[in-house]
Amino acid sequence: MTRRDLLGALAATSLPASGQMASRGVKAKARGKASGLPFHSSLSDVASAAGLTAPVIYGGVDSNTYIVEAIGCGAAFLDYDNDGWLDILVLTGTRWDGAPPGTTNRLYKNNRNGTFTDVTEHAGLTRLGWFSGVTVGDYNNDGFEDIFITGWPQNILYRNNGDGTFTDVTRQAGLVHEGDRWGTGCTFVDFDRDGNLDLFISNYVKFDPKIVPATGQSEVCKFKGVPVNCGPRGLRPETAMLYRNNGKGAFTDISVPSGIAKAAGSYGLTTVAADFDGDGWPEIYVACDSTPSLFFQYNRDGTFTENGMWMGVALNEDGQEQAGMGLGIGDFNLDGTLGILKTHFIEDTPALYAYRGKRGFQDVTVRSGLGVETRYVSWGASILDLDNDGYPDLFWVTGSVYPEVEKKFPEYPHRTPRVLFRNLGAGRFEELLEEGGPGVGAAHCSRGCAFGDFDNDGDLDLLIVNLNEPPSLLRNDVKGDNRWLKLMLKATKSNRSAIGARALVRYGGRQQLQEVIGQAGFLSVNDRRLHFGLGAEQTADVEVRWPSGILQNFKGVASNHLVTIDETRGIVDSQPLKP
Amino acid sequence: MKSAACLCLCGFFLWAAEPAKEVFDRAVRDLAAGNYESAERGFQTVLREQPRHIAALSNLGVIYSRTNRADQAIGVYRRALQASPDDKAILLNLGLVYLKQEAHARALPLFARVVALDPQHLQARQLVAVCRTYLGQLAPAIQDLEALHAAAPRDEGILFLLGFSYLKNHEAEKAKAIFQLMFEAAGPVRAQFLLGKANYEATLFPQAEESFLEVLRLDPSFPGVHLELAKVYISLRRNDDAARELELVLKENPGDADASYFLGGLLAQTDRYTEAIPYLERAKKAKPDFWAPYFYLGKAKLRLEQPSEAVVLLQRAVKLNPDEASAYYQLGRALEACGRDAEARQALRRVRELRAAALEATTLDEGKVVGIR
Repeated sequence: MTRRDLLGALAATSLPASGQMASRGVKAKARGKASGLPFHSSLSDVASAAGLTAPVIYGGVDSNTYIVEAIGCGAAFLDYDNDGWLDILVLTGTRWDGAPPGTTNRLYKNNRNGTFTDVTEHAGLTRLGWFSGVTVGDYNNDGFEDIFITGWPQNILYRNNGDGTFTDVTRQAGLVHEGDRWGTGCTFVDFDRDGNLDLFISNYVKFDPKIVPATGQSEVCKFKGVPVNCGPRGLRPETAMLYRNNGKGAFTDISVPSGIAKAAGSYGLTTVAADFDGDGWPEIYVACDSTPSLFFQYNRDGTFTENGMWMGVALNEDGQEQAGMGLGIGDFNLDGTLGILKTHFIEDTPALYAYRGKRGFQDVTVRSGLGVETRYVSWGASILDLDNDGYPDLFWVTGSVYPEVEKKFPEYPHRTPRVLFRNLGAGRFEELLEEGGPGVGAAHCSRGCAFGDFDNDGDLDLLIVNLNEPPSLLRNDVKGDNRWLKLMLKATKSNRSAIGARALVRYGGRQQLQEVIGQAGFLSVNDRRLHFGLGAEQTADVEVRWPSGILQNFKGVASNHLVTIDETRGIVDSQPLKP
Repeated sequence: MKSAACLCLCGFFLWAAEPAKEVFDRAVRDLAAGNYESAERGFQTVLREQPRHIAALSNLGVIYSRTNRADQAIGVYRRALQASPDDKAILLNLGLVYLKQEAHARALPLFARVVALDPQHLQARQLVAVCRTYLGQLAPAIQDLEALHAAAPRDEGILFLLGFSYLKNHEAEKAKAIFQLMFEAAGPVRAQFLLGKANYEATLFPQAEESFLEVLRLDPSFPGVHLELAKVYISLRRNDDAARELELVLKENPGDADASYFLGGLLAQTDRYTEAIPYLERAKKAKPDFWAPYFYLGKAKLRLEQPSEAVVLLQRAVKLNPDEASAYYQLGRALEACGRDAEARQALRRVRELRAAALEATTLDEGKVVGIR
């Protein structure tokens, strides 16, 4: 063979197929001209002043040994004591060589003055381990929110005793699984609409430190040539699990008979149950890392069919797997259906899916303007109206999984800023690089993210898990005259948390759908009160559909109020909230 | 490859069966003159009379290979090997077809078989090393190449492969020493070009860019450098720079199939579907057995809301490359857009099967390779 032949052969071998030019390693789209419109929301980190000062210990600071250190965990806004003020639960991890004293999951009680008190010990929630995800719901319908936490190697169910304390009831509830599993996504969902919250759990990988090579032990586990933790590729995926609530404080594993366990071959992370297709029954969507994401549709006979490929939410528009991490759910295009925002790895765009009816979802990422942002490994995602203008915005948090890389390549920093896209209407978004306030640009290695109105001032704040740092609490300060409506749905026939209840709100010729869901962001839980920005509108019409099937309509509901709607009695309370 | 093809021709002249000898001889002359259409007709005539005529099969394989009809080339070479399983030239040519398709795992046993039959076969030994390098079997590849290098210390091809293997094996100092030898053997311009290619293959793209720019500085008309630079820019996601280089290639040679493909693919990937189509059509015409132009054309047609046309193109793409999940995915979407739901579901099921197989192939507890994202 001559040199020319050799070069010819090599040139031929290097012809890229689609993989080299497609989404993995995509170039960001050019940014258009800024709209120049003012943004009336400003986010500032008030965690320290609020008393959220304990760091979230999670793996090594400068290097990780195993992937279990890199994935991180979620957090929850919940009202565990029913006082009308959001409390905070922040999960934790540990370290292979031992966590610092005091490392634990933490529950913070809202002092109703902008500060919180750590009540972990009193509540009986002190626990150290590799925790991942959380879902909050009243599984025993006693009127108090319970907590389910996933992790490796076991998950935990905490029953709320109603007196400020919790009891670990995992075993008596039948939720201890055989062998070690790495539970990640989890959501309470009343899939059969019997009034009892069932439990869906996604699992990530089969993780066994005796099998998985540690960082540096495998030639293959390198990012940009730097040795990093191995996985998820190469590790065996786990199937998801579904537990049916028997209504007597215990659950039955129906993963196999329900068909959930049939969906193999995906690394499951954040899980959302919602009625995407509007048929009255919840579907379950699982963001999956480096594998096709899963979309389970209920067959109304106790079984599910995984249909993500057909529904257009398994892969990206090019048919390629993405590193699905977090999920934001909301009606971003105001068409009265729920869309999906899914976050991904560095050098890839997020995915924004619009529901288009029977044929599933359409990937509208690029046409929406989101293709400009590919710089960060992205996690907790939210669709939320930060400036109350009536158009839901997009927010997500970021942070590398490889702390080792930035030493060699400063262009791949471990701590990176948050990302905010404001909704311009007509399905278009614009990234705000500085206009969102100092809390947006601050760089952290973040994972979980939840939104809620912790100070009850009529706007949505954000709780963010930062690895090996205290969490961030981004207080939202909204200027201007935009109005809003907050709905607290109190179920009496359906599950008491009203998970699965939805409200369609009409205001000023627009409509927006929201649903009470058990998990979102990244392995996290949002404020279960539904918050609608209304722009300049003084009133809104509200249509509520409960999991029981009950439909309610309310005309001319006053804005700037927290309105409590009872499943059988209708509006039972309406409180103005002062900014 | 050209030399391998000639080897075939010489070897099989004598084997032509007497009744078809005149037809065969004329076909051979046509092949030598580059009249592929009439040569193809001639060999097919011979094969109708003698279906196991090894020389006709083999020469037909050469024609198919030269006209970029890889699947047909593979078919006739396989038929020839059934009749003559230890034929070194056919083994080699079939391996080269696979090599062009990046199917290193399929090419390797064929080249290895040639080496087993003839341990001194220099070309086969080099090709074994190429395959091993691309398959990540770097230690044996380097061992083979060091032996070849010891036998021919100034052979540029061997120096290139050896340097590239060291680069892939993260042995920068050894790679540097080998490339120094390559500079001495090949002269500065060619050596820079080879260095650029080695860096590109080792995914060291900034270094590859540096080498190719140096080639351009030393010799602005050095053949192939703009295309190589374009490939580097594609890998660096510098799409505008890539497009500029590809346009330079096409200005010089409008029929360059690779440049047409790359530019068409690049435009399609940046949603410039209408602009992409003429380039992809040219690439498809020039390389009718290369699946990727059909894929990008199909994708373009689908985005331009011409799903029926997309279906035809994507069906061809999956026929040519049945292991490509993204082609099946686009096909599924195109079929769905045509209302052919049952077929669409079948295509999408195939996507899941391929993804699952790919995942299974890399699971750690099967003794396979662990990786990252």
